[in-house]
Amino acid sequence: MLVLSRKEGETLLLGDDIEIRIVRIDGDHIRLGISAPQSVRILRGELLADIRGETVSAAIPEGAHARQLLQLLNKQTQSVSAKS
Amino acid sequence: MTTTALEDTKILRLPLVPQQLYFAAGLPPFVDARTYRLHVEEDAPAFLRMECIDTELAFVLIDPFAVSGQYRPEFSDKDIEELELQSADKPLVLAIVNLSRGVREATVNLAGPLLINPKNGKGKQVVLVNAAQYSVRQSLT
Repeated sequence: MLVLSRKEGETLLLGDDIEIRIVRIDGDHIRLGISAPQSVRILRGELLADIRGETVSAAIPEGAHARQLLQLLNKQTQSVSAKS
Repeated sequence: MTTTALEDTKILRLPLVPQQLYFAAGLPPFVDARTYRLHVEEDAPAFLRMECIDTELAFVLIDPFAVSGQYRPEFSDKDIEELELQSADKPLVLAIVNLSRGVREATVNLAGPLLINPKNGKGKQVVLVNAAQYSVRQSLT
């Protein structure tokens, strides 16, 4: 991994069309400004881990259990729509 | 409970739903579970059940546009290319429902949906380009 030191207001260029600017440093917070093409996905690193964790949490170990859950879920959504 | 083949049902009102899906990268971290079958239950027509054909692994899915009328997912060019989606193709988008906290606490992952090419059944769990706008745990009820 390349490690660089930058000061407030300084920039980094990634390839031809991505610029990262250190907008402000405030204690343990760094504000970054990023200029990149629309097609470049910019995410907080935690989001990917969150999505994977959510897939694990949502996984149902047996198909039969999934059917039972769907029956319960259907009752639940019907009762909600009946009330509204 | 009766299981109906997707071709036989109109209840989902989705344009074209392949019965078998192939995820080349699995659904991370389940990278070895690649081939799934889709089922719709007559008793729960708003949902789809997706079962892995190789292992005992299943997911409950929902049409995310039915969850939020404001849902405007943006996909990366790389994801579109991987699934061989042509610009004229309308991709199928399905979201994973999490029932692990009980059906009353059901949530939907709108930030990381399944993007599917309805023509060849190829799918991928993607992270939306505009993922920051959507919740990983959007309440369903």
